[in-house]
Amino acid sequence: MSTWRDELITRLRDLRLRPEREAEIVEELSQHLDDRVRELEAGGASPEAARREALADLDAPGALARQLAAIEARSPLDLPPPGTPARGRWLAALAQDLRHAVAGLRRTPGFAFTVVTALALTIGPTTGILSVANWLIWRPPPGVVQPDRLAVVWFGEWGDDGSVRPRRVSEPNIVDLEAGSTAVAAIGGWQESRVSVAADGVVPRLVGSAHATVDLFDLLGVHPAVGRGFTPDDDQPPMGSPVAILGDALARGLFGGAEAAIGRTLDVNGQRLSVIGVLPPGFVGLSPFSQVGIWFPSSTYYHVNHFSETTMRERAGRARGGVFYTFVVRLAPGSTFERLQGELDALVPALAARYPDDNEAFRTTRARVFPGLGTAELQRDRYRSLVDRLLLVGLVLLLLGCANVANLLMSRSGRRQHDRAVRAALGASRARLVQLLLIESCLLALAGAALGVVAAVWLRDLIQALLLPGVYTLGTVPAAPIDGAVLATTLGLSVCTGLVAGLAPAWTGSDTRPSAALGAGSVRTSRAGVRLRAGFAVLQFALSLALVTNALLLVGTLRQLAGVDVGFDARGVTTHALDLGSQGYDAERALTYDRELLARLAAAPGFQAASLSYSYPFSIGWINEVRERPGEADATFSVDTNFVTPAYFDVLRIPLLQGRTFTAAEALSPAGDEDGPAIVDERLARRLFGEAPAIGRSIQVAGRPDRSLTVIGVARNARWGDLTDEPDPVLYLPFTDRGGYAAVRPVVLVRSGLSARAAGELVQAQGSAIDPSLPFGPPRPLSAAVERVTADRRAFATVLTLLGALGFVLAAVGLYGLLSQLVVERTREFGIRLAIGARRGHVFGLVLRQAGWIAVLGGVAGLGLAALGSRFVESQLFGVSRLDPAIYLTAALALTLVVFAASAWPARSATRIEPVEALHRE
Amino acid sequence: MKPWLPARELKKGSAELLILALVEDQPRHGYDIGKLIALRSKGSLRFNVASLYPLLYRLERRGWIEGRWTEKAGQRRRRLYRLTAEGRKVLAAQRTGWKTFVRAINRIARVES
Repeated sequence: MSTWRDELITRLRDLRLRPEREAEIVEELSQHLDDRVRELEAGGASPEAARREALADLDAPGALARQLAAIEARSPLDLPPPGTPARGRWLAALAQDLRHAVAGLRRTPGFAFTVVTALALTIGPTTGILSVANWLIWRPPPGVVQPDRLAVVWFGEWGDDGSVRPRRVSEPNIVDLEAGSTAVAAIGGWQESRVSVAADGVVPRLVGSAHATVDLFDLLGVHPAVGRGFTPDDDQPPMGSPVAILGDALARGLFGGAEAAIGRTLDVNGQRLSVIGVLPPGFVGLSPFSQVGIWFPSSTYYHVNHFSETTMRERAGRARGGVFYTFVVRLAPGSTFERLQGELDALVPALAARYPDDNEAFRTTRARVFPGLGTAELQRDRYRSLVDRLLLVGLVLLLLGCANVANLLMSRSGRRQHDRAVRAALGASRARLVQLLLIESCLLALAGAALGVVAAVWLRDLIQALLLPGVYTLGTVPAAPIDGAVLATTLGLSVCTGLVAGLAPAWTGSDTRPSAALGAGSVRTSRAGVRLRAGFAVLQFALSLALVTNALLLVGTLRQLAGVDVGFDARGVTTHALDLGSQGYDAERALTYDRELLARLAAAPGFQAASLSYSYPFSIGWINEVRERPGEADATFSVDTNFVTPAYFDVLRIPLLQGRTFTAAEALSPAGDEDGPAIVDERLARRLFGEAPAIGRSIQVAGRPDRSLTVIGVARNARWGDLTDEPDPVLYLPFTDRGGYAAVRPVVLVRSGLSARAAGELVQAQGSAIDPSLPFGPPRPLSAAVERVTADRRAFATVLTLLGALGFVLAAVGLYGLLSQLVVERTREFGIRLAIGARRGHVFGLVLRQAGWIAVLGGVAGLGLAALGSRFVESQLFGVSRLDPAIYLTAALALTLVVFAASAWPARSATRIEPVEALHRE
Repeated sequence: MKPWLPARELKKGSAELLILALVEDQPRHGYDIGKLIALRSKGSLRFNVASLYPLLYRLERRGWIEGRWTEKAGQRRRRLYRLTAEGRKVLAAQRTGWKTFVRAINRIARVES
């Protein structure tokens, strides 16, 4: 029979059949040929002739191989015969491995599910972090052409601490700057604010708005999708044309569509504007927080906000004119941001020198270039550091996921040793086995990524709410988009995760000496494999511990901050902002409105106390300079200043220690310039008057000219803007001070115990009774303003706690799996130990000792990592040292508990081994 | 070759029917099947090894016949093919089909009558 074998194999080789199938066919056909030869010989043919004829049969029309090719499936493991050059087979092999990996995973759905879930838990939050980072830092506003050639330029007086007092730049000055600069290709000013918008049948609502120079859209490369853009004719000073361009969403909301909006009119702050264009969908302003629904020319802004035309005519010209202090600059071809900054550093002072009378203020004004569009320029550093920290957490999370998945893969790898040994015996190279395993882990990673992205989309709001409560915007925060860039990054990271996680198991798993693995009936993990898996467990515990420790540092900080006495009682107080000035109220009319509003609020049921003020604690404030000693010009210091009505101290429950509060007459009538009443806090009183009584003493507020005020009361210290620093002193002035500035932009503070929403409705109802066209801003609890200060920390503490806990759980599962396997492998050993008299407690200890090593190594490494990582949270800490031993101890204790919990069950099962049974096994 | 022999296509189509019919009553091995076809067609139909076995494997793959290695004392093991339940249905259908076809050919070409 074997005489046919070579002939047949030669003819079948190209089919690359599975070896056992090939052997079968060879056997069957050999028999046929033998039978044939026998028959021919019986018919009188010579053995040679018979053999020749039989072979001719084999090669008869439709040669065997060709016929079989369509029928016989190829080997699922495409093993090239030894010595075959590998070129050209690579792609086919890859496809083969892919099919094989899919089939393998389908056979073990439980395993695949576990790994994919673990990956999704890793990749989901990472995608969330990436989407926030992309949104805050990387992603340019949609539709903007070549955003990397754009910069935002701020003009103002810059403090050493990065603070700025903005300075508007007039049109003639901008023209001069543009002419003098080689780096500027185009420059356009813009400013975002809010207006109330009403259309036919639509109640007034507050909408994000922006006014801009008419060339801004050209500069950005954003053009209206429908209608036209602004022209210079639209922006003729002083009041511009009554035209507006709408964002796509607002056009839809108001008129049902972009086309339908063109030519329609709407009431903006009570002024009628007509819609000339609608922007393409997606473009809502220049920063991630922008939600601009309506744009108008810069001059139209004054029309919309009811500025008097006479005033505006007076304010024209180089000296006083100027709408904007922020500008977008497009760089000239070949120029750089550094060059732009350099030119502006020279040009701005030159302008002051050239027009000394008009540009007096320019002597201290400097321009600062912020490359690129994006997050509010002055906040960029803060967001960047937030994002950096988040990305670090994301990286740790990915490492954790890698270690976890590697561990899972290795546990499976052990179980499939036999399978691989067979392949190796059949001639599969080690590289080929590695490739197969890597493909498998990448497949798992991609599945995990898909699930993770789904989770991230689904949890997007939650992730964002968690990460960004500290973001302060006028309205709600727009959702961080999960765009192509995020998806591509996620995909790349997932493949990397798959490769990294798969590498170690693939390498150790492919080290298969066929004879050993095939010979032994029992599967035994190699020592290197065990050590590697223990190493992964150590890595997981270390990373989780580092996360948890830093979370605990922040939790400790939050507890310290919660204990800080702010000096007022925010519970039950809500704030309601109102902008009368933009609705055409002058100071006098505004004051009448304010008076009536306050009277109504005081009389309305549901409020325990109500007041009007310029501002409220932990929000934007007014700063005055107070003279140390009357008459001395140089020695002044800053005080936070608020303008308040009499009940302010009742609403906030700030006790007056001496004197009295303002009277209604003092607070709600136009103020004189001299000798007004003032209330100081304890710090200010001590600073100015020491221990001496303050009542009746005089305070000098620096200004042009100085004003002298008489102290009528001393209030207890209340923090104004920060929980951690030594606070500035606070000065309280009557609500109507400063020429009625507070009167046109009051904030209503009410103490009611109602929800912010309910209180908001009541306040709006009282306001609408006086003037139905005035919308209040969204009501906010005062506690939210205080919490915003700790929001970054809280968000970060939550993120770290969640991810650290997640890490612990994953690590515990990995450790549990490893120990369970080791107990099974050592069954015989434990059986012998028990048989020769070892106590069960001793066996329990043996297993626990193995876990103990992992805990000790993971603990030491983790605390080290935590100490390193704590540098990144150090700036956030308050009242807690970054190396606080109690916190590190607590974290280590948590680790011990988790390790014990993970190892107790395997250890217990080791004590349950029946010696006789154990010895009979195998 | 005899002039009236069916064209190759006809032979190929009929071959399935022939094989199914031959293993209908008892399991047979490949050589046996090939020889029986040659014998009963008095030599006008012949399958060589290169065309017979692919056909057998195809039928087996379709689940119409089933091959099994069987051993008898003192003999080499042989692969015997037998008809499956599904193969039985196919055979019945093919028989009817052929009957109809042959009758149609006869009616038109008057080959026999």
